[in-house]
Amino acid sequence: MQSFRPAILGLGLVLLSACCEREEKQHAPVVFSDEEIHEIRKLSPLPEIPPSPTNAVADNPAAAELGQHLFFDPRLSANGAISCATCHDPEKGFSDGKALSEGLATTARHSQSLWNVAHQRWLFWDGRADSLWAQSLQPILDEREMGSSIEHVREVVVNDPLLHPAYENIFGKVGDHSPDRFFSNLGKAIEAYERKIISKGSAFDHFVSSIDEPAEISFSESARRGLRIFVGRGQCLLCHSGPNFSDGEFHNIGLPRHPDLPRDSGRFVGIRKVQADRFNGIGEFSDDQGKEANVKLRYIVVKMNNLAEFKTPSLRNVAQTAPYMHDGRFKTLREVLHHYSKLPGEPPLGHREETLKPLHFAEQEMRDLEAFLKSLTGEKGSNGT
Amino acid sequence: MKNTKRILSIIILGIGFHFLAACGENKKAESDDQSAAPSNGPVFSWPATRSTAEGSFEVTLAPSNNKITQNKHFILNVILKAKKGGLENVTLVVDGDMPAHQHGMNTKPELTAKSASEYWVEGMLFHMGGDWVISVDITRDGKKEQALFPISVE
Repeated sequence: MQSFRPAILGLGLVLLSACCEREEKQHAPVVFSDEEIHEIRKLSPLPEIPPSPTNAVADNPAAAELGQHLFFDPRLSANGAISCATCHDPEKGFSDGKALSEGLATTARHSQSLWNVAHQRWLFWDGRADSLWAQSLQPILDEREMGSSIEHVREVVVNDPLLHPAYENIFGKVGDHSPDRFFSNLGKAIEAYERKIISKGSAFDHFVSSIDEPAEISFSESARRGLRIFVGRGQCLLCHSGPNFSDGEFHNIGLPRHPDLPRDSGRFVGIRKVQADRFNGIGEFSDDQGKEANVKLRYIVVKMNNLAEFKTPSLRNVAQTAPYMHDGRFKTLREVLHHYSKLPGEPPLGHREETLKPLHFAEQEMRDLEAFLKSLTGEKGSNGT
Repeated sequence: MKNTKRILSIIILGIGFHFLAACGENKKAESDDQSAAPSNGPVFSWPATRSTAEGSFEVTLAPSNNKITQNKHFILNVILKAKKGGLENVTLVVDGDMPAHQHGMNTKPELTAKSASEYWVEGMLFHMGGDWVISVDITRDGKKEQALFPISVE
């Protein structure tokens, strides 16, 4: 028996040394390949916001000021207690920190963050609005949200010593406008404000700019490893592409049925709704109904694979905007990563995006991805708050 | 008897070598064919021309600015040439697909005929990066042929 001891000791040492080597390899400084750098460069910097051709006052400062007042004004709601900011609170990443947003009642969806919302192609989780101005009108009238009416909103504006002249300076006499025209103008002012909710200059952005101009930056090795997974084996770029970390489109990521909510058709119904929306870009209240301004709306089509698809959310400031998913089912980023790691169950409607396969993340990989996602928190911009 | 066995072995070996050589030549010919006529091979630059599998048509595609960028709408110019027969009674359908994802575009492109041989396709959008295939379905007198343009989008 004694003669086995050196052999066992030797084997132990070999195993220990192999483990250490593996550990060292895992934590060796990340040096990105040219191919990785090529992919990373596509994610930063965040460009200037795109134009909003269907809104003539989208970049009018006076409209943005009026929009800011409207955004925070609870008098627009039926009970005088709910404003846009109730579900899009600047202190909570322009979301509300709740799984499902709550106005006059609890809705069936999570409140999306408004950070960099002007970069979105479609609005709402199901894309049922094609512009920010058209989007901003729906919660005011929705009975579960602000539960108001155009007549009530008009009364509030006309009787307010600040809002009334501000409106008329931008749009002309209230009395000359039909209720829908008046209401759409309010939406356009709210959009002008929301276009200022911009956040950039994250640790990740500083890292990307340091590729060309070396500088002292704070971007941890763990975040670098997470970034490597993000652009590599995680295939996160398939949907979270571009500088706003979203392709702006819709996917079924195979979330199992929510135990407390009815089945949600998502984009499948959203397409019909945006086509039917009287405030869409080709409608009479649009400031540019032309073909060029409305390319995205003109060519959309409902397909079976749109069932239970939801919009790819931006990942900028994602660490500030928990909980996650369209129904707010995941409380933490870790829970989101667990979903992609295991892909448990099948979606109740439609079918999961074919390229999604369980990623089987190791604990360290989860930590690294979290570190990377946290590096996307930007500096507060000129958000007007 | 021993000699007969030896002769038989040599003959069998000879036949074996002959078949082996013939197989090699066939493989070489196949490989030469592939490099000479990549009729459905990937597209690396625009404009690009591909023939239908049946060979009756040749299709040339050119996206706006000769570039397809991920998540940007683009217009496709289509030039159609008949290698057999004419271009009368021809209808065209253009679409984009991601075979690995088992889905295509989120848009329904609109096709406008500029002439019998030139078409414009509006409303094209490749929203994801990766491998796409643009298909051009040509129907003439009830018979359909297809030209495929596999591309990688980034």
